[in-house]
Amino acid sequence: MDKNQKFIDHVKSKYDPGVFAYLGNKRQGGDSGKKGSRYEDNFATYLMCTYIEKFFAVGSESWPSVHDQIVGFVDDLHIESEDELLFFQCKNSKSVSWTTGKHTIAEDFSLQNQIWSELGEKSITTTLVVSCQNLMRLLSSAIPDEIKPHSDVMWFPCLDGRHSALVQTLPDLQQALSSFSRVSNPPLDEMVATFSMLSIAFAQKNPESSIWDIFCRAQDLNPSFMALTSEQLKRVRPNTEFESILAKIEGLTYNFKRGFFAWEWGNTSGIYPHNCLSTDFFSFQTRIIKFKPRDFDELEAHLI
Amino acid sequence: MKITRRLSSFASKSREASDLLDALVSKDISSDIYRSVMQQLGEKLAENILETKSIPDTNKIQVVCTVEDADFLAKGVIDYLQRYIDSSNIFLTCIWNSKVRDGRVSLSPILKIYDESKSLASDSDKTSIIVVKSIISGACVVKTNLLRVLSSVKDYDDVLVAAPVLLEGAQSRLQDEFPHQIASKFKFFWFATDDQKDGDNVVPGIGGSVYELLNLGDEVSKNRYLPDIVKSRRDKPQSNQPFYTPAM
Repeated sequence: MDKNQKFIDHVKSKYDPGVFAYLGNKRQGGDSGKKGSRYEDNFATYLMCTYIEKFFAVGSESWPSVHDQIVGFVDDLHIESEDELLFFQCKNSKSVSWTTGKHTIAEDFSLQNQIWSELGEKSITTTLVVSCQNLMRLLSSAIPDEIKPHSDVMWFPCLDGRHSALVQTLPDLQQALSSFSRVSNPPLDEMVATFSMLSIAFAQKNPESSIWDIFCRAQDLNPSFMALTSEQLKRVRPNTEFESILAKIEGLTYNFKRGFFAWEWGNTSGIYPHNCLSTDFFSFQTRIIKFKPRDFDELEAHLI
Repeated sequence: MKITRRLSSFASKSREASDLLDALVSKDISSDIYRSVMQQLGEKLAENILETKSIPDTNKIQVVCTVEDADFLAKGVIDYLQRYIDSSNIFLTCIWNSKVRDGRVSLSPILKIYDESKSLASDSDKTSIIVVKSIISGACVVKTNLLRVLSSVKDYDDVLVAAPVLLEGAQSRLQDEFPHQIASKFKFFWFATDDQKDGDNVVPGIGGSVYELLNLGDEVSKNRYLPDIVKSRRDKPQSNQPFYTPAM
């Protein structure tokens, strides 16, 4: 039985019918609210970036899964790892309160924690995400006591589909993207493209996708902007004949640092848009071996 | 479709500029004439820029363009600037962009870049950036190329964005992609604003697909073009020291 069904059955059997009806209403609202919910999508992509950064820094055996259509009282985004459950409620509004409305956010957070605790989960965190920094500070200082042990407030800017503005606004996002972009010290356009391609992969994900699955999907997109992992880099074996041809081209320098063929010749530089494990790159090497360019002018025609 | 075109104040006063805009959209224009008209429009844009005294005398100038605009619009801009400014202070950055469209995400990834401003990296002189584009519609290409340029040029004054034709709202679409402290440095130079699109093309715009009108193929094959201006300007590199690092 999947976890959503377990949650539903538990609420149905152990809670007041009014709570069960409220859960049903939440689901309907969630489904319709999903349309055009770019704030949540951007936030989910941002969170994935921070997890991928950790993976590139220390490696990991298991990757959390990420869910954006979940059953629950805190239902915008859910990250599930072996040892913790994280629930996020995103509120892109200037007026947000813990305690106003028929069903309050505090009540939602409390129910979410209580029910998952009853279902045997140990480490649960509920986080309210808001788009105004002042509001974040206000809400942080006013977290109701009953939910304080498991609740937090985060700021995340609402910039709709403007990924460029988002990346430029968040230094920690830039740092995360730098760790797994296809070039070292990536310029801003590479970081933005990395974020955007990850967001495309997120939109294409399956309900049970792990962050690793989504990252792999992003790696396979064309063009690819995701660096190869250290394990993948071990499999990068540039063809020796290919390299001996390149070595004879005066002034050409290149590297495979992130698993991509990055080249430079004087003031001209570029990156082959498929990683070195791809069939496209294999074909590229084959083409170079076939045509044996003798100088950069001859090579240049093959680089795009 | 009701087509509305608004001329900028410069184009309203310049018969030459408005005639050139009309020439771009004339039927059966040959690619040779189209190229020439684009180059002349580049000269008029540079005239407009210098007329407004937007470039301090002491500044270096970095002209940023796409591969399709390099030999025509951008060449016109550079040729005109060189009549008044020492050519050693003018640097060219030419960018080869591809295109990715997926739902609401639109990207213009950079495949290749020719960048003379690398030699400016340790220079303390301020830079005036001029981004040249034949038409700005969604602003995706200009945004991407500006992000690349702004990643390396640290000390710059205004960012001058110059295009013969803009789609209505292009300025705000571009500015919205940058933090206020950067967007506030943008100054736009243009001759006409159109408010209609037919598929991918602005109408009347610049007459259709600029790649095809310039006889550079489509949005894929245009990237195989190596502009004459790049060929003639780039020096052979001095160093042959590889920076190859084995993949670890």
